[in-house]
Amino acid sequence: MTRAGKRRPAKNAAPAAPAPLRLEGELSIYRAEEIRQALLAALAADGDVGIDLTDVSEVDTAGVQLLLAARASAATAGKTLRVTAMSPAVEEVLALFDLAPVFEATPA
Amino acid sequence: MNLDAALQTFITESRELLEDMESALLGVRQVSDPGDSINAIFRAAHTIKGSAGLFGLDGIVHFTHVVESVLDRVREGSIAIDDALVTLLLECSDHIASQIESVAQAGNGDTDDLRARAQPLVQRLQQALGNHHAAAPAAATKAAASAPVAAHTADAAPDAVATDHWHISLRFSANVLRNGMDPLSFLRYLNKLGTIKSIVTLTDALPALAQMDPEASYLGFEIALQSDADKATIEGAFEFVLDDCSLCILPPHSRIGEYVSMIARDGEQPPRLGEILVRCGTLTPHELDAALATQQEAPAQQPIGEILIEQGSVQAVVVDAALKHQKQVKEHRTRETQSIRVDADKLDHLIDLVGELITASASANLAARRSRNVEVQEANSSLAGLVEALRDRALQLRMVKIGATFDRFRRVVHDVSREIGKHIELRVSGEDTELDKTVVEKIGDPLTHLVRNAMDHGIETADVRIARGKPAHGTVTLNAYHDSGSIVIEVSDDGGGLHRDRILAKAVERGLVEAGQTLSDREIYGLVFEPGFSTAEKITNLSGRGVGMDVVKRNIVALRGNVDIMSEAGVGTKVTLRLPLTLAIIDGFLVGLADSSFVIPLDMIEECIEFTAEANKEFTDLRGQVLPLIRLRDVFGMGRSSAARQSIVVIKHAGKRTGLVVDALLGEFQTVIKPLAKVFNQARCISGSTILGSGEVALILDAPALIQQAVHREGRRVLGAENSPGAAVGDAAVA
Repeated sequence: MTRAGKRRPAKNAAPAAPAPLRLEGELSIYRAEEIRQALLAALAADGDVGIDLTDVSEVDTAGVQLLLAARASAATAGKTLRVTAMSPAVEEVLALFDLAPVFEATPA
Repeated sequence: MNLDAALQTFITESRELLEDMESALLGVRQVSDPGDSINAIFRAAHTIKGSAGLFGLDGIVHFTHVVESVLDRVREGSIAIDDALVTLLLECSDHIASQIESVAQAGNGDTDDLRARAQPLVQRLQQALGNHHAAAPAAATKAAASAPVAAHTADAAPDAVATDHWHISLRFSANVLRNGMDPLSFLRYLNKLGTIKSIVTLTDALPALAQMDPEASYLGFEIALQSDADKATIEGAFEFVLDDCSLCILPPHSRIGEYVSMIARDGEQPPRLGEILVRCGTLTPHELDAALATQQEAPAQQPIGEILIEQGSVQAVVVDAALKHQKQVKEHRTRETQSIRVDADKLDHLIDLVGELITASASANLAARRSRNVEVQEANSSLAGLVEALRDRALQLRMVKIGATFDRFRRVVHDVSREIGKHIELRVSGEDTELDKTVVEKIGDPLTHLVRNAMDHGIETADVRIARGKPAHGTVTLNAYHDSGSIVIEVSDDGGGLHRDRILAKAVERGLVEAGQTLSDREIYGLVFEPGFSTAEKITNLSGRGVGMDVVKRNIVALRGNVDIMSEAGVGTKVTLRLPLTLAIIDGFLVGLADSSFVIPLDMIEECIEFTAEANKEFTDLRGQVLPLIRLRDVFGMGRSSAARQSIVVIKHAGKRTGLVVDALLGEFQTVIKPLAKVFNQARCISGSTILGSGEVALILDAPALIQQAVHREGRRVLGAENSPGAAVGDAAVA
């Protein structure tokens, strides 16, 4: 329910931007390459990138690294990468790394 | 290294680690400071995960990863280790064990079946983690809000910086993630030691997404930690990753010079690092300027030794810890060289060969005696001495302490007491008692049954115990000691004891004894070992179905041992198992019957006396005491003896004396026990065979069975039943 509530305004507010990339499950080293490909694909599309982390159950350093790299790569390409929503697990880890301000969940 | 051999090592080590993990788990709730136990548990899970990764055993890696995540939180203190968690983790360690066994047997630790069984465990683990997630952000906020800002102490060194927190500079090697370590765990752990006041995550090394290796580590951290812990403790947080990171820890109020050398050491842009230190709140901008100025003023690098000495005062503890660690490593190495791991098969083979050697030596001895050559006889006799010594040493190699077997029962007691809702403790003594590995392997099941039985039927429920004036928690005790060539294992409980009258009533009902027959307590209690005998009023899923005690007895008797039970109403029950120390080679005593030879285990023989023939008499007078007699010729259907003189060998087993009537006494004989073929399964009174020096076969007499038979016969005579001496030997037994 929360997910739907957050996604719909995103679509309405910026119809031009593609739907946010939704990552689910473990954002960890076990799926690192898979997630990297997903992020690369999202970056390859036109316009800004939104990432929805509502359904991420677990995140580790490898996962955080990927998000950081994606954000930097987006900036290099002149785009903005936003995390539109995140699960408590993600919030906790970003808080530990003091990276919360970098990824402030901002509904696009 | 051969991959197969490496995998074998992995399997063996994993089994040991799991044993460690289990005993640490069982101990963790008992010790006041569970830190060491938790570390041991963590280390076991972590090591197995890492090694399993090397072999590509994904099933094990995935499962242990979840376990490790939970343990990680336990280590940092955000998940409390309670009984429920211990139980869950024990189940997890069982599951890892079955994965390892699956690898050992089928080479695959990731079968559908295992995955299905892992599922509920993973869910419960994630639940434990989930609870934590929900609580964590709130806790973090609270901690941050309440973090006290300590005042700058007045007695600090004049050039000390104002900061009152530790500064930790951390760079991980690229492989740290692949090695199964997550920097996150260390941050969480630091949060347990104190409060991370601020942290700067360094992303400079991070390449573009397209170029990055997603499994490599690129991050670095500068951490300001508010903590009362000493440097050794803080350094200890990184114990598991020391090889995979470069670590610099500066205590509060360090001299500016130390920050300078840290800045210089890292080989990063000094102003950049300096800025980070300011961002961390470790240095004030003013202090940074002063530091950079100092660095420029002294172009000659400050010798590293000097810095070390400067730091010496604060680091004394660390140096101590490091030395201690080094010493431990050294001790560990020496221990490694003192013992080597040998395949059990190789040992078995060696003992087989020693057996052959004894047989060969016996036949050489025989030949030497016949040759009447003194020189050969002497040489042979010193050879025989050496062979005997070699035999003892070889058997000693296979001796193991019973402690490891006893330790396994901690788990049984833990699980069962939970299952049946009684609080029961296990007390263990005599762990250092040694016995043959082959015996150890076979007593596990009977012991498990006895322990479960004691817990289920022996120990009363807490309210009954309190009513009887006993402590509410019951105690099951395992004890072991050596007694004349045997090992004695006692399983006792402080429960309600056996119901003598109920057993007797049941035995009469089943027709095992006649009503009105007088039996000693020992005989009555012994009835519980009869097949199909159970007096439990209530059948539980543990025991009480009347199968079990007779199986226990059968297993123990099959090992040439015996079982005895004693009980006192209201005080408890003690089951005593008596087993031979080894199943391979014994000292025997050779006796002759007609043309055949038989071996009687020497440690059972009390004495040998002359037989004064009185036809058909089933007993004799031994210094005023009645000694029941067994004519071995009758037992083995050999007809009447034509020998002029017969002898009686008096054997004693478990307190009972019996005389065996034999034709000739042939003397001591080192007996290498060869098992009997399956055909002879039905043969009672025979426990094995051996080969004599002459190459002939001699049968080994099963003394306990013979005694049993004598007792039984006495019993039947009392009952007036018909006496048939030959009935004890089955059809297949051919002397």
